[in-house]
Amino acid sequence: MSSEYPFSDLPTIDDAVASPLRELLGDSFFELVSDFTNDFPEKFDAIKTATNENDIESIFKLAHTLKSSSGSFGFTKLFKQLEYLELQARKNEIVNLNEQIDGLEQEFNEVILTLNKK
Amino acid sequence: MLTNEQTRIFIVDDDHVTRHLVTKILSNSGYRIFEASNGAEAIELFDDISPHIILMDVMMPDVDGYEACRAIRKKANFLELPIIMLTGLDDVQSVRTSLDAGATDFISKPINWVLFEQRVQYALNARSMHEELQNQKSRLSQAQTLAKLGSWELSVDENTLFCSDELLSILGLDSDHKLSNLDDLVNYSHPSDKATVRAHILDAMIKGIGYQLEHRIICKDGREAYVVQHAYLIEDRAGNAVKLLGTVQDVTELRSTQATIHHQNYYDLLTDLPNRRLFTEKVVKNIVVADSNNIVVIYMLTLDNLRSLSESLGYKATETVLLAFSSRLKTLISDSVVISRFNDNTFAIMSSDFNDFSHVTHMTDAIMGLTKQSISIDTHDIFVSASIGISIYPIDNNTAEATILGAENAMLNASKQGGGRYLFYSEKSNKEAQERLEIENDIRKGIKRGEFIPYYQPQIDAKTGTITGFEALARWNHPSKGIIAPFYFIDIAEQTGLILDLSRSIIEQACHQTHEWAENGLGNFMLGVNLSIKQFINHDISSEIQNILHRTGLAADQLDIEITESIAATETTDIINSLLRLKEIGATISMDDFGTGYSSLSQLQSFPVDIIKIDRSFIKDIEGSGNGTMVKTIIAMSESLGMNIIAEGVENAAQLDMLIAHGCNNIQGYFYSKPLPAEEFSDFVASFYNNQKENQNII
Repeated sequence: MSSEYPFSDLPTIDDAVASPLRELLGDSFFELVSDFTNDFPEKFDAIKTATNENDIESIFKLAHTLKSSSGSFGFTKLFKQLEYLELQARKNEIVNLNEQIDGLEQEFNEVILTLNKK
Repeated sequence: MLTNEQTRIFIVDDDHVTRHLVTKILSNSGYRIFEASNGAEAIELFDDISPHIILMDVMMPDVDGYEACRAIRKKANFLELPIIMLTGLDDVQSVRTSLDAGATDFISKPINWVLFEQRVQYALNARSMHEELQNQKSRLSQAQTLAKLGSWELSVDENTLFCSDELLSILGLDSDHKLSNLDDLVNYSHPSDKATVRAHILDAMIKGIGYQLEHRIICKDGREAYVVQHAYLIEDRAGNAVKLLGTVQDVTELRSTQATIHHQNYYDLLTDLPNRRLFTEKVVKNIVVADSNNIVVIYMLTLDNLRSLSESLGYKATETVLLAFSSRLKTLISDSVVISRFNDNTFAIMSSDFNDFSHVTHMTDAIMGLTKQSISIDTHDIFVSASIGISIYPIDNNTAEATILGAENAMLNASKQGGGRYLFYSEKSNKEAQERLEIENDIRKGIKRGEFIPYYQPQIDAKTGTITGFEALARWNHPSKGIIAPFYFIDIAEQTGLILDLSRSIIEQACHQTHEWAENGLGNFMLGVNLSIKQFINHDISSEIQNILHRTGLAADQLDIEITESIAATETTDIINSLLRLKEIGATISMDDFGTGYSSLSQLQSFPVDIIKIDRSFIKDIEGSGNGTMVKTIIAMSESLGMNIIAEGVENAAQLDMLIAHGCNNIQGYFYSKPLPAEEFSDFVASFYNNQKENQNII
């Protein structure tokens, strides 16, 4: 299965990843998720800044870091979007960057919303 | 194995979210977690933390995971420290780069949390097993080094050899030296042990027999060492030999320590002679093996004037004298002579393995002779005299201890009587020894002077009334004591070996005489001569007899060799072969004194005997309680074996009649004649046949 950008067919939170993690961590799960959700806006702003400065390397590193954390929690759509960006940044072939930034912001909000529901 | 609480896990990731996740999950299981947020920090903290495992992100600012991994690998080897790379770069290249950098394993991101802890635990277990193995190996290696225990392993099919470092060190080789096959190893054996070592190894491989073998090796530097080698075979399930495992222990030091301890326990410090303990052990050993013909003589010797010497010249001077005298004594040491410093002023000498009594006199003379020369101390010339006590096993005493004690007592008596003399244990022994010695010397002289002569006791065929032959019997025509019977001298002659000369002289004279009587027409008589067992042992008796026959001209078929049952009892191939050779040249063989010893019928059959001589004791029994049952049995038995019979010691007509009645016609004994000197024999022949004629005339 290979999804195409913007990966609208993927779930925001993959329960197959998140549920066992939640079991492993117990109540700390939310603490650690907050870690991520608190951290994300700062790094996301950094990506936007880097975009304005055309700092591809920073985009790559930031995307990579955010990618692994979001993957760890099972935020699958966000993970895929970040991986997509990371890959393009590594190849220095970023297309539709603004569209991706918007997509990321939208998906992050979706994550927060979904988490709040749970 | 470490507990989780003892296990230090080092997580290196620039993403604090991932770090916290890992920390939280693993610390829930009790592990101690240490964190670093980039490669540089990881390298810096590594030594302090000294982790048991590292989880390392690949993509980190500045110093990345690969570089940190390479740097840490220089400090800790692959098996001691697992490094697991956390990589989101899920491609073949990043995995290969991780492994090249020295990573043990990798976990790809996003991390599968369900399996995560198991992956970490697995890596930790592998590390622990490796560590345990290392510990065991190092403990084993330390133990092997301490025990000087080397080991080797030979793969049977390929003849490839593995040697432990300790084995190489035993052989004096560097640890990088390679011994690659069996020959390489065997070649370090001492040349005289090589064949044995190889044979044991091959035996172990072929027959599956393990072995323990002590042998010498020649180390690389030429040094000789003693090793004990053990080996056993490992077989596969089908029973095929797979490997031979061997250990080699250097026991040189052990041996030399044991040898030193042994020496200190058994030898005197000053003279290096065996001490009392060793001497006593040796006496006991010798007395155990001494056979009835052998005597063991103990001489105890003390130097007479040591006390006054010590008073005038000091203790050191007595040591010098003892040392000087002990080196003189040492010149007497031989295979059969043991000399000991028995206590401070006493030397003990054991002389064994001989049967010539004159040896005692020679030895005593030799010891006394050692005191004739002076011993120099500084400017003094010291003369020492000795008191010697002699005790003889089994004549004086019948145990080792008693014999030693007897010699000591005799020595004290010799000393009390003023020293400078020797005494036997008892007056009786002194007298007997003197007598024996005189007899021995007398026999020796008698042989030289031709005093030993044969007497001839006729053998008669009672049926035909003819003289068929005679037995030659030794007599000693002593210049002062007259004619002496054998019982007085035969034992001493046997014990001293003089029997060889004595017997040869008797046989030669008898052969000569018998031949002369045949030439003179007196008759072709059978001559019976007696041989002693001494003449069969280490002695070519058949050649000797042939020479005598040749010299005297006597026909071999006139000679009958009489052997006793005791010779048959010590039956050896040598004796049988000698007898067979004598039969080949035409002589006959008689078994003397038959029935008195242990001969059985079966033994008799295996012995090349032609004639049985019935012992006089059975003849006497004819009129006794047994009614001659034994005689009848022996006659019947001999007939069934096709042997001839001669009855010895026949003294009266009743015995004669009974023997004739049962088919034994050959008679020797006083009934016809006592043993006669040669000059009376022709008269006997004449008168015998005259009587026969007269008897016939009467009839």
